[in-house]
Amino acid sequence: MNASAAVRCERVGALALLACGVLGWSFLQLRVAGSDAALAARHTQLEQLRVLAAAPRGTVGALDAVVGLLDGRPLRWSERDGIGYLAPEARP
Amino acid sequence: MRSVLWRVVAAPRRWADSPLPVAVLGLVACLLAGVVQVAGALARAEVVRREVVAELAGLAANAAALEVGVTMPGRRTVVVGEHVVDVEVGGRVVACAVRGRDGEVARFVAPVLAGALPAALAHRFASLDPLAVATVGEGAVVTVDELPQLAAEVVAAAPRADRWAGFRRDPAVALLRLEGGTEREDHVFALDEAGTLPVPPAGVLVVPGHLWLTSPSGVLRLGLERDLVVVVEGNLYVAAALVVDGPGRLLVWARVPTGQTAFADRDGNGRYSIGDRLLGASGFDGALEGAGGIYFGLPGFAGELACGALLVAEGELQVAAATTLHAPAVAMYGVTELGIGKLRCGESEVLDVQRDALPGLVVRGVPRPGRLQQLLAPAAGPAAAVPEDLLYAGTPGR
Repeated sequence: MNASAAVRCERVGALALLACGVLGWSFLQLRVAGSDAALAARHTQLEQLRVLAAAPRGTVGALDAVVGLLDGRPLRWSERDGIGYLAPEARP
Repeated sequence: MRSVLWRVVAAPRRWADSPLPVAVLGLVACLLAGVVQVAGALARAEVVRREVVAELAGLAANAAALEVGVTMPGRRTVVVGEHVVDVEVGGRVVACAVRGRDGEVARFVAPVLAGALPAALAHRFASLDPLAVATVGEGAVVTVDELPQLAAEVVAAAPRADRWAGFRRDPAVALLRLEGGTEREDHVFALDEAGTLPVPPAGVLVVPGHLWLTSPSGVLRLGLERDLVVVVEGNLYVAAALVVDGPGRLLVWARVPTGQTAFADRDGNGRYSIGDRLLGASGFDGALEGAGGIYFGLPGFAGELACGALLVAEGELQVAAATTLHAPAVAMYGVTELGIGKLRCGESEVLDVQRDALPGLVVRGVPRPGRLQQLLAPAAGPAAAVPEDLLYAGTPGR
């Protein structure tokens, strides 16, 4: 292998390394953005759940908005002595 | 020595001669940036995970506390979904310890309530009169059964404002604002430098006469450590915006005492005169200015008002200024708007009447746990950390 071939190999290797780094970083950035979006949606569900939990009875239909969305965990409405409440159930 | 120094100084230049070390450095930088990003994302996810776990633990504790009830003191263990909840029912407090699937323990505590608050307090504005609700543009028409009632024995035992720090009689306040003043005693708040109003143990105070909300600045700030019900045996005159700095809440109840009369002041002169409408009485009796009414602004008042106290009026709401209510209000009769007067509801939170308590009010239904509060120090015993204001003396249900 002559000197110019070695230099070329070195340059190609460097370029490949840089490309790997940039691609990997971009990939991670995409994944993190996806994770943040999922997290924001989860936070919205949590806020909806808080509103539901604090709301008086009569909002049963709104339960569909959060049922099964928080870690796939089902929730149910119950009632005791005329007081409605939301209870988490075991995941299937 | 010089050659070693020269090597160190010249090293970057030599690295720059070859693209490979530069590329390695770039790769390391990219990796580091990626690690930082992933660590940040993991931290954010953990925060939300903890919030979800806490919320679900709260729901489980609430469900368990309601399931167990408060009638049988003692300790019981209830399984709610994936949570195991130890519920300890005491005479005044219910304590819950929730264990999740991951072993995390969250502790909650709630006061034992004698019953529910009246349904009228579940609305931003409530009245028996549909016209009053239409005038305010928000709220609910309620029935007599849904109206709040004062617990007579608690009110009878309550201290009087003229002998309680935080109030004083003011013979001039009415004369400055109403032609001819009033016939009964006028009271104003006389707060300390901190602006805090001391609250009696039972949480109820009686003002034997009228109460005026005034302030030179136009805003009266009132600090309350616990909930307070002020029963005004006369009229409430709101001549300044009222801001209540919690954690305590203020309920002002304008009452019609025996021998006094409520009326709708159609001409807004502050006294009963021809054309005014009597409320719940066939003839006028008592002081000319009447009782049980709440006056928002008086003739000549040009500013805007806001009220952060819960209000109950056994008489009329007299509105002579643009007024915003920032807490639920109950008008047993109607609303009279005069001149520029306009009453509207702000973005106030309504009360969770099933799980909330206010002192001095007759409650409905069976005893129950109140709203659960999470105890942030897991090692602390629940009973030791119970705030005093959770512990109202129970008012018998009717």
